[in-house]
Amino acid sequence: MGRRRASTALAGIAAATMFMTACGSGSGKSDAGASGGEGTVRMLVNITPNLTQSFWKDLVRPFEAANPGIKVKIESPSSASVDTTLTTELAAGTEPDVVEGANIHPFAERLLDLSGQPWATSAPLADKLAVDGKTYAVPVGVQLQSLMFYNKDLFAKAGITAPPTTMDELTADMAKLKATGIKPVQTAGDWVTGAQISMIAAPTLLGRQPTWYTDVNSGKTSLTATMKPVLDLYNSWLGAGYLNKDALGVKYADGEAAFLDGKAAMYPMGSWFAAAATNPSFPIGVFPIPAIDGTGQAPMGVSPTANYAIFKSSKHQDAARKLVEYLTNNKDAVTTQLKQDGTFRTGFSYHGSELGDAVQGILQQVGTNVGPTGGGYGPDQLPAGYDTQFNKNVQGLYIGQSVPTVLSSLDKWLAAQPK
Amino acid sequence: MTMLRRTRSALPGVVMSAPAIIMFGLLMIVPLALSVYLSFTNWNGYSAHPMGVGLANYRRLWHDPEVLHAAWVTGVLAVVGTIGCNALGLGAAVAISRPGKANRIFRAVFFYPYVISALIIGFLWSAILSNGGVINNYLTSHGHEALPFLSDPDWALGSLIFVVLWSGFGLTMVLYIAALQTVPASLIEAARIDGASPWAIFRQVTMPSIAPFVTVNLVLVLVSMMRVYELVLALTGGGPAGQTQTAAYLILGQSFQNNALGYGSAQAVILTVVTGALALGLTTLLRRRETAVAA
Repeated sequence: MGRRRASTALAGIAAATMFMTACGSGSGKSDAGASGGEGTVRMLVNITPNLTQSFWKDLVRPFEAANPGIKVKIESPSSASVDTTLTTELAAGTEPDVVEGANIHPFAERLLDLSGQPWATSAPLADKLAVDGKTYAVPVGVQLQSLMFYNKDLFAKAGITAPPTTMDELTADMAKLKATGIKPVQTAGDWVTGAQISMIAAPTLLGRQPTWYTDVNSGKTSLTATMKPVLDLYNSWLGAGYLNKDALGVKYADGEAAFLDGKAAMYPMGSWFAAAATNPSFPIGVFPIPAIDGTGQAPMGVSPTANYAIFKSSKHQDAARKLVEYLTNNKDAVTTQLKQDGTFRTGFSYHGSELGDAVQGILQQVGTNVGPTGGGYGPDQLPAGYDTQFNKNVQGLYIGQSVPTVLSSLDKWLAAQPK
Repeated sequence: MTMLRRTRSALPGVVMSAPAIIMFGLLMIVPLALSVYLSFTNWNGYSAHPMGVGLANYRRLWHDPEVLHAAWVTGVLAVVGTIGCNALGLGAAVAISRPGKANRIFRAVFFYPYVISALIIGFLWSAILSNGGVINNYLTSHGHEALPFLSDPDWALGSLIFVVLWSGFGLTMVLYIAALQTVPASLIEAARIDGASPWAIFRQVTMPSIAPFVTVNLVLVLVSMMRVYELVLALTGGGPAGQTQTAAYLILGQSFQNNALGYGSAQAVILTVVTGALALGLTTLLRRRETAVAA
């Protein structure tokens, strides 16, 4: 209790002194009367254009019907994201029973150990999310990150007959497109700049140094030493006019819309774009982003999706466990989630678009040759805030900062983070 | 007996003010004290027992280029915003303080942005100024180059300042209109009879009369400029490349995105101290000037 009181006080200060409006969910703990496999399970979820409140409610309705004693209360993040919402809820002791899509690593000790549950340990990337060998988070599927979507009509117009398989071919294709008067690559501001560079960098970084995350975290290597070739290449694309130089003023949605309007030939984006690209006015293809080195199969940057975790503090652990098992193993529930958010899982296919099928094909092709992108996840994780910091710094390339300056700033930031 | 009488007469005052004192203590003093405590720790927002790190957070922020840049942006906003909002507010107040239907409409129009949430204002202007926004759509559809309102660091800071002024001068205008009503008409009339020009009347009669309002307006706007957050969040997101991050925006980012509430608290403490010192210094300076003018 003392711990909780102290944490509550600390949460208060964080909220008040930092000009933060109160952002607790306001719902407090679940009803204490119920126990065992019954009661109301509070589930904090990500709300996105694909994953709306009504989607989540519809998703759990069959579960509630099959388990009359259990109600599921869907909770939206009360601040920018699930992670920031959890920070305040955990400090205040008002955390939900179940959380979806959170970065569980910083507070894994407060989660229920699901290592003894085969349905949990066999989930995709569950092993990559394990902390000290224990399974706390159960993903539903994976998102492929290092993908390049392309406009087949514009490729044909530029005389490109097949998607590139090496970075040299990719750069050569950009030159052909530019020479034809076509914008080769669509980029954007917001979070997109950094995310796209991470997607492009992952195959090279993971291919050259599979232990890249561990090595960066331990200080054995630096971003300057490892990421410079990728950023040099990206910067050369920028200088050659292959990327839109006004990117920083382009919102994520506007960038996506520009590609879908046929204003650019390629769009580096995660597999969720396949779900957004419904009824395009031209045929869209997809290929895995190659590594700088060689012509072989490069590793694919992937991330777990909809990973569910249960808090130890839950008074309805049995009900929460049933719910998570349902959401991550029931065929209909899993397929619905995969389809809704354009994510994938081996063994679970759904009738999607041709583009979705192509992404599924890439997933099967890369097999286990996968790894994280950006800030990573599980033990392969850079300090909190890395993605935001990376995005801010690499945007510097668009305002004239040099690659060494950008990388040096990032290395200094990494060095300043608590170990 | 005297003591008892004194206590009795003070009791209603104490009872009446107790709720306010308790609320002030709970909502201001306690969080501030805890913030000071946290600033000496490495609390990440999750752990139950923050580790003490001494002055490490304070030492770090003096060498953090992001903090220094955010301080510069906040300083620019504070100076330009405070002067700009007051100049625009006073100018508008003088122009439309007289009764009349048109003036009433102007007052409502100028004041309206102040009552809208800063987030809504930010998103609204983002839709107008972004590359795909209203202005650039118009420009590009008429054969002109798009303007980098939000994609160039200097333009983005200029855009932020413009929106801050646009949304903030309405309040100072209303306060100045109220101030102008307090200027004795007889003084203005006497100056006019003595042949003083409108500018001379404004400088020699109006300004000294409304000096206390100027002090209040300057301090109010300065304090609000020191903590601009929502507008940055919605308009520029701190970008491009983190170039429009204000101190408040960075504190929130450092604290919650980086799980560094200890470091964020150290920045918050410094910002609180600097804001308090500036507000106090400005108030003292202007009060002294008011007294000198009155004498």
